[in-house]
Amino acid sequence: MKIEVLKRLQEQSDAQADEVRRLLERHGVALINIMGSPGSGKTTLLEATLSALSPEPSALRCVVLEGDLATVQDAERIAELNVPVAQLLTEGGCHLKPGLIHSALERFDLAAVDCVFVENVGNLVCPAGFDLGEHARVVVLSVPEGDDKITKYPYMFQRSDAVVVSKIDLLPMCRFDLHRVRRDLQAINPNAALYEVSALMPTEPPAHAAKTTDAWLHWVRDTVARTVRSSSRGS
Amino acid sequence: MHELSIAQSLLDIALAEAAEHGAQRISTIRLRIGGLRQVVEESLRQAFDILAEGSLAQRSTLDIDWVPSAWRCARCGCSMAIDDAPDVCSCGSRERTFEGSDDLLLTSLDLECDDED
Repeated sequence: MKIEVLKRLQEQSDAQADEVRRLLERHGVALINIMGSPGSGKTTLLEATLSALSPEPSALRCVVLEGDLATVQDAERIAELNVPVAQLLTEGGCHLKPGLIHSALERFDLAAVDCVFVENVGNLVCPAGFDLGEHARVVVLSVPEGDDKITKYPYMFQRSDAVVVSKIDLLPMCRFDLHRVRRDLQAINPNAALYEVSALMPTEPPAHAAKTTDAWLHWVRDTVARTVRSSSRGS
Repeated sequence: MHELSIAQSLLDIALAEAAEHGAQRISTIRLRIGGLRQVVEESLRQAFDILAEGSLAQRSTLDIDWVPSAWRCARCGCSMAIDDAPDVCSCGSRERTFEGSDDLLLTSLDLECDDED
């Protein structure tokens, strides 16, 4: 007996992601899912971003969920900034799942939070296909990785809202054609924003990078503000 | 290895459908997978075989309809596979567009039921 099914394999996972989004939106909290290769600079970008967003009077109250296969090293780095953090260990799993995010969020008082940053497992393939309940997706692409990553991992970049080209200060030492990255991103996802940052040299980055680092921070604030406006807290 | 997650969802849905129809065995599971998902066929089949062991889906045939995804040259229109797309098309153009599918669907099942003639 042949039966037609036509069911999406991620139906259940997507339903859990929607639950995460509803929970966050009840409290007017934005979730930003940060993805990228191992070593692309996701944690360093987070450290720099959290430090830049913390000064009053316009401080954003942030929480970080650190995804990794093993170790709590990244969570320790974030904790040093006095930002509430939870380490999510996938124990070999190559990506985070929405159920894990939901149970981690229960440990925080969401009424006192504006933005949750999730640092996904370092990987340009698997995390791309899994909605975690985020409001925005960011891919960190570092200069030493090479400028061919959008061609090789189109799904990750096609589904991103912003691409952060990190370690931009290494451009003179690497074969990395920024024009190619812009062209490939334009071809696959013309709506994605692109920022160039040098998170480890915040005081004296190349002048252009300083400008786009500000633009990146602005994008984060804007994403949070947009989510709050459209949530129950904003209305 | 997102193939393991995919195989688990596949099995869950197939078993639920089989139970609903009172089936004794699932002989074939048909899938549609878009090239954007970058699913490794061998890993998916292996993961499924391990997970399905001892269930109604043990030794089910996975019949996969692969929907290709590719870059297309904006000048000459030639198609370049994701896996080995050159930086520059053989016609000399770098401009390209993308055509891809991210389908991940269980389309149909062949079930064996006791009350079948």
